[in-house]
Amino acid sequence: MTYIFRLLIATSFLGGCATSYQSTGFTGGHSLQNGYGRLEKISFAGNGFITPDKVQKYALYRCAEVANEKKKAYFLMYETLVKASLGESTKLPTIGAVGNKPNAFAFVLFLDESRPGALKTAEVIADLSELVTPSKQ
Amino acid sequence: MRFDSGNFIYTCKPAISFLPKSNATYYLHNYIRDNKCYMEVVKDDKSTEIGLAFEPSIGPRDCFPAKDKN
Repeated sequence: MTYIFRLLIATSFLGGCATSYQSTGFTGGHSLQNGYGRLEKISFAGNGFITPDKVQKYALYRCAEVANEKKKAYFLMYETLVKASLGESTKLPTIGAVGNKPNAFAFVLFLDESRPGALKTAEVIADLSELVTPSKQ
Repeated sequence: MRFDSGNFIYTCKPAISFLPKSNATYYLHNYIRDNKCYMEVVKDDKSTEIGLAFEPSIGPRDCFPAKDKN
């Protein structure tokens, strides 16, 4: 009984600890891996208090953020390396979960010019900035 | 899945087969989609825009099942 009570108290405190948009930390965050040919793997890992949909959007935003840092106006995302090798791009990162902890990733090719399937860096940042860093009211 | 020492332990065993060639470089990638784990292989190819190419010999595990002992 005492254990259950303590667990409920701990859970109530942790309820406000959903992963925020951040680099990899105790509650999760984004990360980047090089080395897959000319692609970069961008991931976002969430804890048990964030929804898979939000993790997927955080990963998408991070792809655009990295593109912006590299001064690339467009980027292509691929769900897997095989799909990348076949030229099959995607509009959203791959989403998965281990237990109740969602994780999203995409392989990204950064571009200077638009082409079919490419996302516009500035548009993605503009569309998702409010989700990533909500303005205080 | 099992619970051990205060931690949940998840295990997953993806598998894939392919026929590697000498002097070739391959990339092996493990990932999770939905609640399943996967493994994929592509080959290094610097002549392509992305530096990778599809590996045509990939297939499911046990491409070459063990012969009968009889």
